[in-house]
Amino acid sequence: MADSNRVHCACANCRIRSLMGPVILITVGVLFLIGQYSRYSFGDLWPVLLIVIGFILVLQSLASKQGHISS
Amino acid sequence: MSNGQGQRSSIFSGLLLIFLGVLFLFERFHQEFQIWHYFYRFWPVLLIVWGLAKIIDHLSAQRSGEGKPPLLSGGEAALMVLVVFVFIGLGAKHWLVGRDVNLGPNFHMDPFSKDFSQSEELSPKTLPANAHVTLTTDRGDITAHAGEGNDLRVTVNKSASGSTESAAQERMNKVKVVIEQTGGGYVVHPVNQEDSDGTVGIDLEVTLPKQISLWVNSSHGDIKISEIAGPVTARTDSGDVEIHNVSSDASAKITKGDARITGVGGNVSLTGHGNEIEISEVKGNAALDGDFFGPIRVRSVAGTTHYRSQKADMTLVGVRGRLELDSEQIEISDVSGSANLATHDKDIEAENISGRIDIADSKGNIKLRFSQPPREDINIADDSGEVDLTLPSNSSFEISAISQSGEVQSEFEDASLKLQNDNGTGRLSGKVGAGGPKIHIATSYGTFYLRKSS
Repeated sequence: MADSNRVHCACANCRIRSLMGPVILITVGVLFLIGQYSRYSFGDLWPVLLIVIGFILVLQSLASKQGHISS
Repeated sequence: MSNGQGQRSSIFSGLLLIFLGVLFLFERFHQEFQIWHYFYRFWPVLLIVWGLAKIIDHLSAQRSGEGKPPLLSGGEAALMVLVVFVFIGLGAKHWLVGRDVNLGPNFHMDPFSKDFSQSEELSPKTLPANAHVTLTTDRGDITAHAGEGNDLRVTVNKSASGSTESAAQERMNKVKVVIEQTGGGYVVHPVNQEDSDGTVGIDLEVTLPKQISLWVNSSHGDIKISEIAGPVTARTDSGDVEIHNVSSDASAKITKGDARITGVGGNVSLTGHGNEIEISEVKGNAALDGDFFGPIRVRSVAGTTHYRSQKADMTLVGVRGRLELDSEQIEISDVSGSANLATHDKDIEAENISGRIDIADSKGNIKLRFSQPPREDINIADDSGEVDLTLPSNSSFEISAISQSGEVQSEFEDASLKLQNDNGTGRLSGKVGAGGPKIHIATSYGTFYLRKSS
């Protein structure tokens, strides 16, 4: 695999950054589920996604880059 | 490959997204919260958030000894541009809606679904005299007017969106409109209006006996009421209200939208938030309480007109002419009784008020005109504004006027009238003619003109 040679940086900043994708997926999933089973639809709840993304960006900007390896 | 301490990203985009998320979420659940107006007023807060974010960036960079993020990175700039576009879009939508451009009852984001509609008539029901009738829908317009006879007739127009016609039909067929007899009267309302795909639009066109009292409620739609003899109440969370020719009291609560109330035998009461307001031909009192972006037009109210909002508080007795009010100014003409007015940051123009006048304003210019000599006292207190008072030449009155850091000019001259402009302060006091009503003017940083009309 082409990726196997890539060095994965393990600094706090990059670890939080790598959380972004999965957390967005989970949030979208949860929001659609809530949309199915409650009186609120995804159309009502989408701003939650903005808040979650913003929250991760804030965490990321506060996390240290000590020991960061850029490839 | 480099090893070590690169610069971190800024905290700004994160904060911006959280701020937007909270704003939009709040808007979804508070219908009266109009996000566009708030952005229009409070956009400088974004600059403050930006500045605060940069301070946090700076402090955290200093503490860890890492590189400082730039003032505005490419990503942040793109995000800012996006935000500005979103708000311009919202503003445009608001403008279109305000201009009555119909975006359709089911304006939504799904490009594949279409709107379908069908209508049906309920079997008529005979009502006793003076019954209380309630009409309600979660989404849709309600039109109610009096007809001949004692029958309650309801025509239901349903509308629903769906990817196919049969899907939409199925949604509409699940909704039934019922006429229920309860202890308090009769209630016409849809059942199962809300389903998993949203809300089915239910418009009600209702013909009623004249002698009833009426309560109409739509969460999302316009309301029209006419020719009813008993008291009527209309309430909508998003839509316009029109009430015409009712013999008793009319009250309305709006959250967004306009209100037109004309021809009312009793009192009018209007509360809430909204845009354009028109009230005319009222035999009783008119009370407006709320924040309306305007313009507000009131014409011909026999009783007392009372208006109360965050920016103005006024009571006018007997508006034979009109009252017009928008965000910049207040215009009043032909009032048979007294006028009491307190506001700020608004210009006031008033003509022919017969009763006592009390006006308090700041940062606004005041213009008063009389075509008949004043018979009652006039009290004007302004702060940072010009006051212009025009009286007929045959008026007689007693005046005491002062303009702090301003000037006084008078076209009236009389032996007992003393005009003084010195040390930057203007004063005028004394009697004109035989004396009479007391005129008291106090302003600052502006000129007081006392003019004579021929």
